[in-house]
Amino acid sequence: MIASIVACMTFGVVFTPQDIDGIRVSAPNPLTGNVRKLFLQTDLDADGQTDLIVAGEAIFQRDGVYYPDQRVRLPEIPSPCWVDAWNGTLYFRTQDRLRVFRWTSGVWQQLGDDPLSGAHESSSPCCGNEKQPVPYRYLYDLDGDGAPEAVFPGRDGLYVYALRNGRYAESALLAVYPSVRIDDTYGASLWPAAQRRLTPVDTWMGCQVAVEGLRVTSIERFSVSGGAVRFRTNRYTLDPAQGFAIDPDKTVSTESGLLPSYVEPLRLHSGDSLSFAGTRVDSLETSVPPSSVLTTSVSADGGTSVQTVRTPSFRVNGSFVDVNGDGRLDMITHTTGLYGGGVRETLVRFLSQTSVEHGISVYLQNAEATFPESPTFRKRLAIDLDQPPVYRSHHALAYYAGGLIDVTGDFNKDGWRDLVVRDRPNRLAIYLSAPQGFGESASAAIHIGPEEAFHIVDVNDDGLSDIVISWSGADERSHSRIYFARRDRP
Amino acid sequence: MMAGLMLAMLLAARDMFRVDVYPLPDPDAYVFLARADADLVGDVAILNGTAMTVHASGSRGTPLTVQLEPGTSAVDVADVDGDKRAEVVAICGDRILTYVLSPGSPSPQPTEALTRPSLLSAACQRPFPRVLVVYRGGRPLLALPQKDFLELVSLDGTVDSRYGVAFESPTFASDFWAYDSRPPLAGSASSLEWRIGARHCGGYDLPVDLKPGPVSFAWEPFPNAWRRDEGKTLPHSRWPTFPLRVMGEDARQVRYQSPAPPGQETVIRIVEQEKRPQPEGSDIPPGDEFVAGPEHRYPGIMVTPDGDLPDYNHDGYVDLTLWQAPDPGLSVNALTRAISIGTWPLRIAVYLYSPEKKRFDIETVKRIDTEAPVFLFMGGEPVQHCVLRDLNGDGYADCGFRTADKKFSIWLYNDGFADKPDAVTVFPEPIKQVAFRADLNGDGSTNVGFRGEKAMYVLGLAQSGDGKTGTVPVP
Repeated sequence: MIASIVACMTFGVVFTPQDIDGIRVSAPNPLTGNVRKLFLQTDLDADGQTDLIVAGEAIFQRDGVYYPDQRVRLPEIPSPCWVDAWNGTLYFRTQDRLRVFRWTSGVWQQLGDDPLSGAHESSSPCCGNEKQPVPYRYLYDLDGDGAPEAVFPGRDGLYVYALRNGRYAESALLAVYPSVRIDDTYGASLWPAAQRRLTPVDTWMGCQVAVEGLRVTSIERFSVSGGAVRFRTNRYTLDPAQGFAIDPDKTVSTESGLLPSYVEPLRLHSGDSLSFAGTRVDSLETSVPPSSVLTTSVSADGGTSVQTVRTPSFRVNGSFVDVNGDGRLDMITHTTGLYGGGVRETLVRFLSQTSVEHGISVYLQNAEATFPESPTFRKRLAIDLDQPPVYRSHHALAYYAGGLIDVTGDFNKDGWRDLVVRDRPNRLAIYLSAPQGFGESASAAIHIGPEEAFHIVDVNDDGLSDIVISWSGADERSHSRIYFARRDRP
Repeated sequence: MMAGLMLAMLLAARDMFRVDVYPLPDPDAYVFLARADADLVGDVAILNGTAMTVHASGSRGTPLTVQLEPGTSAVDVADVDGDKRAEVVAICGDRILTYVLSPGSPSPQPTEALTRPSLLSAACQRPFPRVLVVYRGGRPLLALPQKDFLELVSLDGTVDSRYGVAFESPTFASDFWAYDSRPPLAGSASSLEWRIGARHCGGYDLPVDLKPGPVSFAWEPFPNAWRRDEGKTLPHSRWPTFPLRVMGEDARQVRYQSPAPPGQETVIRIVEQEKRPQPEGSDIPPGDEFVAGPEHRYPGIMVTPDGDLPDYNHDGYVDLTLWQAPDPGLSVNALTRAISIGTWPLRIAVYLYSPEKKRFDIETVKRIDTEAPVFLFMGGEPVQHCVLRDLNGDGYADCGFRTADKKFSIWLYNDGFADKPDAVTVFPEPIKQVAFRADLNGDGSTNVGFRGEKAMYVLGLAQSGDGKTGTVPVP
């Protein structure tokens, strides 16, 4: 339903609210602040407008609006089922079949229904109890011929299904997982005799796998003594002439240097060397009142060197964001004003102050893949916690969990990430950013209910980030209102 | 100081306890108990990579050391050749090696006892302790895990028996997962990316003679919901439970909960398991049901240290241990005063179970009144590194817990507790965890292993039996 009012107007951005049930996103990734869309975007009816696939339904966009009467049920597919979209065509994968549908002349037309040989081994890619098709990415045009291949992670490796003579058939099984390892986390008890237990050997395997062009990267993490970690990367090249089999002569293995245990692989720039980043929050156990320190670490040179910044802060979301749109992730650190001063000052703050000073520092990554010693620019904010921190209000808990600040959106498509702050329980303040930093004052404000949450995502795929506000209704169903961003002036 | 060991640094009243210090070459080194010599005493072993050190009670302060071969995956300490002395048994590739533990041999050479592939033939990141030797009819057998079964093999290679793996009901993908990362983290924005994992674990279908004894009792954590405001509404069938008897069968058990807001009181109900007949005309088969007794409320929060079921008066019944602290109020002055003093009052209250009254008796409550650092209260659980076991071997459970950053205090139970702790230990570093509680020398007293970053500290009676003498070396 379209709200009758335009929410706000800024220098260059207008937000228009629309209630669209079924728009769901995951919690933000702590490292990048990005949320995972739990819906699909594709142009089903080829009208040049992005349509949405949500909770068993398709919603068509008409004249820039998602009308409630423009929803149609998806084809009936037995569950569990994982759906992906490619150029307006929907692909439904069940345990043993791949069904392809296209919306044609107002009805779903089935284009294909192919058995997945070996799919019984391919196992579940995700939660298997959903009654509706689960959005899950598995389509990828490996060879760039315009027809997507389907790539499914299975127990033994990645199964590649390619289109041959109009049908999808197994093309390759890519054994790119690392070896199974013995889980030696806990040693057995050897004495006294009553505690000697015969247990099977626990084994496990874990990795991060990325498919990019004809290259598959598998990254394995190793714990090293002293709390450090090391990452082993295997890069495989696929040969399209051999049905996408791995070309054994082109496999490259590398190993990172020693890294702090809390970092993980993160693409910080377009360079070939793998980069790593992570954050950790340490509670200072013996400090009274309790305080915490946020450690932000980054290595953009494959783990050879590590740059670390420590600030007094709680957990945050979005420590690495491409703030200036140059294709390189920049580092963002936060500083809470809850601490500082003597014991008495801190106690007064905890017991009586409802407002907290919060600092954001942005370190822009340079062309050498390093970060400056001091921030490129800073922003200071005042956040109203509703009640003094000691009462641990809903809003204060959201602040401690990093849920009040988001720097992932670009609302005016100028390439610079804008700042959204829930600076009061019922208000989102939007600060547009520019080369000199975030705006002095908020360019716009949006009302948000106290029990509502917000996330930043480009719902209509127009390149401008939108604000999703979600809440649970009295019917215990999840509801959402989207504030669509639109450029007001060129 | 003897060869880096037995560096006691106890500041102990009555010289009753001592602390033996075992340096850790690496904070992540395995520490485990083993019987490494001919006596019946448990010994402390440290396994750091391929370097193994055993602090055997009979070796008079000189540790036994074994340098394992590179590629070793698993290690046991057991008498595998029947000579009544334990050897180190190790799996290195397909080879099963033994090392003789001898004080006179600084680094014994391995003897190849058998060559046989197993799941443990694969290289591990580092060797880890694992039961490799079992006894059947007094005969030692090697227990070698294979893909789908466990085989018991004698040293001459004869297979004694095989036992299949009985996995917990596997469901679709219960041990395999692949979550798609959207947007990708390691790949570019257009790439496909997943976090993929698999785990393989379960249990063996073992005959009675190989089944281990019951596992020690584990306290259930409070459900998070109880920490908020739902505690009052949860039915008692969902409350955490502990047995009423320390040992043996008893149809009764104790259910407990702390209603919101936490910290005020604990509610106890004793439930009894009864046979339920088949309802007349019903298909419901006969079975067991729990009949709950009346609700009793006690001030304070349950103290639930790992594996400890304290019986303070040695009557066979588990007794109740609760902690309480006064509310400082939310005034700046009161809190500033508390913080500047640095400590806050802490009361431990013990309620003995009365079989006659069929409840924990509020009239015979025993108390410890002490103070703990303010920072311990900030996390909501000020009773840390707590041990509620018989520490002096008199048959009565005692009470020990952290009373400062590096301090562990013990109150011995003697129809109550003294005004001041009976023993106070100050460690040279913060303690990370209580690694073990075990009666190492079989005298009925509990030895407590405290793990720090730099060393293991094992606290025990100074001298078995008299409980009076002890060394008080200064660190």
